Amino acid sequence: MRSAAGVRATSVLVAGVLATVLFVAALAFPPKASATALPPQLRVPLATAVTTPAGSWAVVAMGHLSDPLNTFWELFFLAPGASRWSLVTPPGVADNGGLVAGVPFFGPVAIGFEPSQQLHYSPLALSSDGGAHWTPALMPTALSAAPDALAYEPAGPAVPGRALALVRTRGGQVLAGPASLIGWAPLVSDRALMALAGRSCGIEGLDAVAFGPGGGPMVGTGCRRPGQVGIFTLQGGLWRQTGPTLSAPLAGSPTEMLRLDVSGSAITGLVADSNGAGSRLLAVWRHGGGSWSASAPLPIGPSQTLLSTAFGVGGELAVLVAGPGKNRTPEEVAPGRPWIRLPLLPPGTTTVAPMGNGSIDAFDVHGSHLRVYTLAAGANTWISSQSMDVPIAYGSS
Amino acid sequence: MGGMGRSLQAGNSIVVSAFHTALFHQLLLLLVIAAGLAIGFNVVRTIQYRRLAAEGRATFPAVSKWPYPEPAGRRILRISFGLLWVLDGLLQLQAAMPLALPSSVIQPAASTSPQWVQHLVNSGVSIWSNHPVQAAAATVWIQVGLGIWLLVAPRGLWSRAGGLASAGWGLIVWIFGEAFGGIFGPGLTWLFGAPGAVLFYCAAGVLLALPDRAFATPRLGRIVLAVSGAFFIGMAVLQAWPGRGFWQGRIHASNHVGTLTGMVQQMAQTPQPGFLSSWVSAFGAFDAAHGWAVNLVAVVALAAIGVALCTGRRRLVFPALVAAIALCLADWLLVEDLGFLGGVGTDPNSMVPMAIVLVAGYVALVRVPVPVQASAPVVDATVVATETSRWWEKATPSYVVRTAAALGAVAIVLVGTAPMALAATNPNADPILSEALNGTPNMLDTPAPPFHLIDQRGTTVNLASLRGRVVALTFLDPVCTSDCPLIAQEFRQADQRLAAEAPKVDFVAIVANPIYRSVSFTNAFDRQESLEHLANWFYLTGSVAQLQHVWDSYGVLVGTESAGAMIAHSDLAFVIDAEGRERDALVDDPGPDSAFGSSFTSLLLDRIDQVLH
Repeated sequence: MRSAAGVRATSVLVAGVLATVLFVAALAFPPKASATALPPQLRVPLATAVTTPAGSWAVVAMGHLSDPLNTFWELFFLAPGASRWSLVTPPGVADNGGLVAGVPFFGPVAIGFEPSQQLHYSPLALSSDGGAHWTPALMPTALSAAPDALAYEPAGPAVPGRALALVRTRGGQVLAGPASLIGWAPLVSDRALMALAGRSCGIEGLDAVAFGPGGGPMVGTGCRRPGQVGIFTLQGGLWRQTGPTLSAPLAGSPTEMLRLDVSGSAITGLVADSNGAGSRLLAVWRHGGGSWSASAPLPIGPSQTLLSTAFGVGGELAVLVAGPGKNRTPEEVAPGRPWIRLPLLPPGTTTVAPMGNGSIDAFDVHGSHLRVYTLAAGANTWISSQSMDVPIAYGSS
Repeated sequence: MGGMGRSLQAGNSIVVSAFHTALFHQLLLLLVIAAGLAIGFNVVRTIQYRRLAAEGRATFPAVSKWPYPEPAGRRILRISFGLLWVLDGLLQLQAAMPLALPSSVIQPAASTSPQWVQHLVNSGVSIWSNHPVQAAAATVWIQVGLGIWLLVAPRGLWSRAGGLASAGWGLIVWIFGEAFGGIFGPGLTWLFGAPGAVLFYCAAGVLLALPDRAFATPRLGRIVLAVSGAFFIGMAVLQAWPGRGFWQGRIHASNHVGTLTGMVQQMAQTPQPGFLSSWVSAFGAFDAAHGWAVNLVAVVALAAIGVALCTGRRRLVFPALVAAIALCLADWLLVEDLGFLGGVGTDPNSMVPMAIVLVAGYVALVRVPVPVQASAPVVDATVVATETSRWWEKATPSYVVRTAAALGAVAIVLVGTAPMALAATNPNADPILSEALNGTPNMLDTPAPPFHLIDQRGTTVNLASLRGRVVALTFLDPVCTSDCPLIAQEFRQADQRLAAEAPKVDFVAIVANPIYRSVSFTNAFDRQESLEHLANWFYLTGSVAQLQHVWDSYGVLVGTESAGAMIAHSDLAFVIDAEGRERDALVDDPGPDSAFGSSFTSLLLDRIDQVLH
């Protein structure tokens, strides 16, 4: 008969072996990461540009781009007829969380600062002179990290100025504010929009805000139902889905509204969808209350990343795609035209800007040094058109 | 200027000086305790001699309560781990320990572990970070004390208690200092020291805590060797597992190197004597060229040693033991790089204690203690102590000396444990961190410059309206992304910690941004920092001219920078007494982590307390 001590010793031995086996098994079979709906490379970047008859604006990330705290977002303005971009970043707030611009067709421009580090709400700034002077304003909560999170409509002869802001909540909420950008009130949330008008779309989060050609607030959303484009407009006190329904082969899977822009009477949207077969971008347009048109899809491969999106004055839409490797590929599309692959850009390029005259500018960033390349209309070579050093204060946040 | 994210150097003179002062004070305390023990020893001996003299005897009875001498295996464990604890304690004396241990040793060890391990480790790190001087000094005494305890108490309850204490402290160090020896991390390997050096200290402590009879047969040695063998086999499997980077010295002729080569190259960069560095570098180069062969040798050696140890047969165990020791020493020298170099080395790493445990296990297997009765007479034949002997007859001189020495060792441990326990229960960081970062407060006694501004409620506030209460004043940018929210939280915590005395103190901030300065911003900032409901919190603003005047009069620099930078401003705080006189000027840079913020709160409260009383 075995002694109690012997039994104990055997138990210790078995436990030791079991523990070793468990460790080995745990190391050999690590848990797998979960997947997200839209692949990370299609998340809409804040880098953007927009051209209106009042000038061109570009939001460009500069500094140490691999270090978020030392990545500063700079705002550049090019006045109509001018040949050189000016640095017009609003002073007084660290903007390493990101900048979003609400650029109306005419009139003052609103800029929002994305929250960063310990700052959890969004200071705003308003300029009516091309960024030469700024008036501070306030969003008491955090703006969504989307390039169309802020929309501004200046006061007209008969209408007061207004603003819309998309703020961070679980599904997103839109606030409405006055022209001064101080004193905001809730307008609609994703749940309310879903209940009021979103059944056929199956709203999946709010993505963008804009003022429609008629002055009514517009909201861009993701849609769970394949083929639906989530554009909703407030008309006569009622929300209506005004986005198009895509037909095959454009309709394949749930969509995400990456960008929404209104230029005069034209609406331009950039939509992404993604399924097991891959991801693609699609532009949609509507002009003067007519019917919607759509571009052919632009495939985005798994080794590619969307770096910037930008709008021209006549519904042109340009995107900058990174990869594979260090390639920077600009693509442009316009109503009634296919996607056009433009000549490759240098590896430091972060933003492209379609200009009013048919040319495109590209912003090539190396730390605090900026070089602007221009592709003239009909040309096939980028020409260096401007170079400047931006006085970035590293470590200042 | 705010937001510059300054951090402390490991050798900060204020902290190092405080560390040495704390050690010196504790040493003085220990000398007093030692003197007390010496006096006690003499008192006992005097009583004994008087009693003996009264009975007309001149010598003590020779008494031995042990049937056999201390088992050799146990003695090896006790003395070796006693010396290791003393060495570890002395390594904790290094000047960099108070500030560098969390960031250079503990957090890197936990960085590859799962989130729950990091959370657990961070709870220990926060104690150390909040009280670096107390924690570092405590660790010195605890480890030196444990070492001495094991060395001076060879038998009986004192010795077993020493083993238990050693295992307990080892477990704390293994969990919080070594993040479970990295066993939950992806890079676990015997070559890098898995499962952590201190786990062997724990194992040795547990063996020492066993009753003497556990060593009376070869069974314990057999168990130790069998468990070690199973461990070696497990490590061999892990070492052979594909895809972990050990089979390659250099990956596909690219610039990337295999896991072992990378580790060795990293160790070669540690500050150390040149010859050692060149050995380690040479091995790194060899492994880069022959990674597959090196790993094959490691896998085969570990597996063979493991199997041999598991058999428990002496003729297999002995060569396995020799091979294991040779492998341990080679790894200790060429991979672990001795473990204790570089300024923040805390122990000689795992190979030495592992080899000691193996040797002790082997000796326990082959050298069973021989009962004393069988070899020599137990007692002096002339005077035999009986069961009815009195205490002063049982307490032989050597017993009294050992008891006094053990008590002294326990006292050393307690001198470390007590402040460590106090530190663990105090969530507020030591003011010395803030002083080390920002300098000591500048004591003043001048009239505070007046101000006339409006608070977040729109009410006019001036210095005269605050007369009668102590004022803690600072300057905050309401749209600041880094320092100001942290400073605001420090003020809020100071308000909370004042408790009943809070109504005697007002906490005042003045806007330090010439652009974003309206009441809507001070309100937004208050909501963000949960300050809006504090009755004694005032966030003041005014016109640019008014603010500029106040900034100038308090010596606060405020500068607007372009290109997306936030407003640059001085991080200054002032304590103003109830009569409106400036009493202290402090720099309130919150530093690189929460410990510094908490430390500033403690410092501010110290100064407020001085002014209040």
